Amino acid sequence: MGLLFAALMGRERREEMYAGYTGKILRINLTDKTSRQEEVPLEVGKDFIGGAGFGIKYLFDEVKASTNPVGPENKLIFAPGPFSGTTVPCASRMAVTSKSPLTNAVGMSLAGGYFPVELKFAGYDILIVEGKAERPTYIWIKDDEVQFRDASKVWGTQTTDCQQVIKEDLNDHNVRISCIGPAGEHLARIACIINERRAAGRKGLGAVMGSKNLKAIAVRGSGSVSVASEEKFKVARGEMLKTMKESRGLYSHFARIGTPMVLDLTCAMGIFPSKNWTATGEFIPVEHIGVKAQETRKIGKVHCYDCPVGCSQLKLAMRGPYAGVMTEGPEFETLYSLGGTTGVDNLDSIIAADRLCDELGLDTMSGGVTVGFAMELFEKGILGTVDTGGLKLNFGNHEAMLTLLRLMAFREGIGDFLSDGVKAAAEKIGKGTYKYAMHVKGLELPGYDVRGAKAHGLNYATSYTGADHNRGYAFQEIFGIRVPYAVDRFSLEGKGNLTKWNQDMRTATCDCPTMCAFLLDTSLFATATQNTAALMEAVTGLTYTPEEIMKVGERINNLARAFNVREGFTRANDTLPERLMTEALQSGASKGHLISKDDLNLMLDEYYTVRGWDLNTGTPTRTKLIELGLGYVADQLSI
Amino acid sequence: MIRVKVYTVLALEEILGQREFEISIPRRSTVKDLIFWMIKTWGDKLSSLFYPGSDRLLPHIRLMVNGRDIEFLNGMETVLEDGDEFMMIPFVAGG
Repeated sequence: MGLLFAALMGRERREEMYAGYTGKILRINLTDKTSRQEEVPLEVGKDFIGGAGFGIKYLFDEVKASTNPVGPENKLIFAPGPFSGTTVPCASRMAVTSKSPLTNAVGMSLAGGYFPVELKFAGYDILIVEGKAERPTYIWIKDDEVQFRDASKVWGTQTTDCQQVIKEDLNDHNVRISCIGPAGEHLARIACIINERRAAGRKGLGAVMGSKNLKAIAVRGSGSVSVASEEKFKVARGEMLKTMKESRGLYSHFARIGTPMVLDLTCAMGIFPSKNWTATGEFIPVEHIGVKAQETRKIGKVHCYDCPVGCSQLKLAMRGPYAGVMTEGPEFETLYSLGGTTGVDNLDSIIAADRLCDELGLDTMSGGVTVGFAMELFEKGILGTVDTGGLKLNFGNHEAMLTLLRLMAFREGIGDFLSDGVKAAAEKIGKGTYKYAMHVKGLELPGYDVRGAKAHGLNYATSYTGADHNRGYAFQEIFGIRVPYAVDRFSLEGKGNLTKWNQDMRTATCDCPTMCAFLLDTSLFATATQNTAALMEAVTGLTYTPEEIMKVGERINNLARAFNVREGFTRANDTLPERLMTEALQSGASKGHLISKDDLNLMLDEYYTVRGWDLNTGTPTRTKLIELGLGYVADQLSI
Repeated sequence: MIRVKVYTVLALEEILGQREFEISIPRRSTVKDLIFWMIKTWGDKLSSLFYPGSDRLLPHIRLMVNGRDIEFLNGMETVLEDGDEFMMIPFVAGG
């Protein structure tokens, strides 16, 4: 099924195949202030589905090796999925893809909210931003019309204010806006992109946007998204909603509590990382920042477009200097990064810090882990008050944490070198501080101490974006879900195979159709591939078996890997911080466990074998790439 | 008699009224014995954990001894030792 087939079948058939898709790419060049529309080739829809698949496909094809991630040659690709804009629940999401300035690898981050569907309503499956504007600019997209507008009056604003001013400027309060805050403007490599209060949070994509002098993208669309078969759509959507309803806790618990419930669990399992991963199992802040404490601050909840769940919680800080600050969150990962790893157990300060990061456009996760890193250096005497500008960066000092986050966003004082994340900071400081830098490939670690969850650790080591829980979440280990089979979280055996399965499944059923990943572990774990196949047929008319859906995931993981190989990444980069490989956990329910270098090598050997990758280099083999329809990638890599 | 620490979280914590506590049970007690002790102690309050009218736990209820899922030990027949930590986890997801 390719272009020739489409041409033979004529336009009518072609339109049918494109249901769910708008079929259009909007390519915007900031350097020469031009825009043009292109077609999404049919085979790209079939082979890559959308979202992360589209992003990685165009990133590989268009961003050459060794491109400066904060130079004009890098591209920023926004791609919602084929279900975005239909009434498939929980699909209003988009992938934002670029070469990451934090890792130099694929940078892909997903965000929900309302911007993604608005982009579809404006008529686009993909938005590719190229070049660099001469001066601060924001882009205004209203259906087919594209304007390059002066952003000088919003340059320097925080993200909420930025969105407000642009709405005023356009005299339209229903536009949807993706923007950066001061962190992105100052090219902090841990800066994020914010739309409404949602974030494409990780991998420093805000710095890419800032490097292009692009403050914001405002979108308003008047179109709609069609489906291929109303009848099949009704059945497939109904099945999905039924499965969600049958979940043991999606509506009764998750919708009420949201992701903070994972904090209580990980504390109990002894895998909630604390004090820059030195005190996991010892510092257990569940009393102060766990679910019960969170409930005392909850004032409402928020739904993404067409989401019946509404897991996002509005919290209000009520005490001390933080009283009166409201945030959407903090999510579990933020409780870990701004709470656990910094040793801060003052919930109101975490609420305020979460809001501050959103306003400054700083990734809460990388931001918090970087603060935790600085705190350990301070406690060890490697950094002193002379270095910190007087800040006493002891673990638990929440006032210092908020000050440091602000310094990082504005690149002031010690914040200047910390704003590029822990890997870059450790390289600048030297003195063996790499040992305390908790990252993989430059991306700061998420909130699961993987010494007590080995497949989760292997995913951190091998994910194409660096230490990223979302690329291959081992829900079997964390939540005890027995799909595709039950696993012992402490064992090494079979974890290579499981990690491949988790990565391909997540990519194919969440990241490409841009379906909310929370549905996977709350309800759809046993039916995700069937669900995706049924919805793809109903929405787009494209047919897949569940195995073919998994194949899409495998194709994209291989293509992303190929991008990284082209950038010089090898097996040596598939590793974990030294601490996790040499220091066993000292307390809690995972006491005594670690992932030694030998353990990791054992899992990596199995992983590369099941992936069909070279055992020595970690490079996809030519045979594997050809099997996945990626022969041109093998040619490019000369393998 | 041996002493075993019992931990739980979230919905179960609400039912039991505490996050962790210690109990004394006879030597050679198994996980199944401990579950029966809990049923005896909390009665109907625990009914939401079981298939209706049965003493069989619902599949999403996770049991661990010293941090390891019991299916990788000896299941419900896992013998508890003095000082063991038993964990009972209700529905948690969203990671």
